[in-house]
Amino acid sequence: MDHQHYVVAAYALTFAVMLATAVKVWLAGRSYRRQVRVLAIVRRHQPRDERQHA
Amino acid sequence: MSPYARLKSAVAGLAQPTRFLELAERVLPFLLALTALCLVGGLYLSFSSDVDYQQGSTVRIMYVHVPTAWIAMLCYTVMTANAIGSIVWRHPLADVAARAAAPLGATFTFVSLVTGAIWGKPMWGTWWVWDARLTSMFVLFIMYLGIVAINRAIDEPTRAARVTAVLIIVGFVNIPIIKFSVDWWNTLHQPASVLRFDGPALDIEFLRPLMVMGLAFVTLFFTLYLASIRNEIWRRKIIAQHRLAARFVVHKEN
Repeated sequence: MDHQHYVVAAYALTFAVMLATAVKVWLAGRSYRRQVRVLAIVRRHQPRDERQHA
Repeated sequence: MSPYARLKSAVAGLAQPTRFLELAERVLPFLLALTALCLVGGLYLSFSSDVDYQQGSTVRIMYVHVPTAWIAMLCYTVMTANAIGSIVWRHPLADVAARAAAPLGATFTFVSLVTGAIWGKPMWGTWWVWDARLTSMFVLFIMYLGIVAINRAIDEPTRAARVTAVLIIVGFVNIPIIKFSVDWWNTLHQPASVLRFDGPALDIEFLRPLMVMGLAFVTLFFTLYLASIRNEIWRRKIIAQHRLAARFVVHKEN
């Protein structure tokens, strides 16, 4: 391996890990956002006396 | 209203998850754009700057290795501040923030360790040595993993928060050890060349891309951190709703 290969390996690893982390955070956020929206809709359509309160 | 009182009320306001979610929604697109801009600029500077007369092009590894190591330590410092907020002031968001930071810290530490090993092989002739700097960084990585594991192993959120906060505060002792390990012990790792009391020892040719990449990684960290805190708030909201629904069903059946 020459020096260029080490440089490419370091950058590839860094950006692969950072991209994977960003995608994981984004996907988790998208999933939670949808669930929160659904819960809000369900709650809005419930009769007032049947609503659960924290 | 005095500036101190205004700052205090702004921080207290952030304790409300709804207000924090509003702020995150507004700030995240700007942070994301700034991260992309800094990364593009940083990458351009990294590959257009001169190579080192001794290290050759391997010096470019510094532009990803050093910023990730900085963020690994910054993340732990932020986590410690949150842990203090969680224990002393019982700030509702502090526990959420401490929990969200640990996996990010582990990621940045992992990248710093591996890129350091990749840099070490052509420069030192070895991937790894158990010198003070490398060992203390490895301990930081293990601590991040331990904090994540302990937080997830305890079901009761208040207890999990307290145990994790104590562990984080005790573990902070490792941060000055990492920083000063190269001064206190004879290490294969080189001494500090940027964050020094008498100014950076690096030439501007290397300092410029390093600073831009450093800024890129700082903005990337805060983008991921804000998004993770927002996700954790939503996760807790969903769990609370599920618990309430289950309790309501049990109550109705009885």
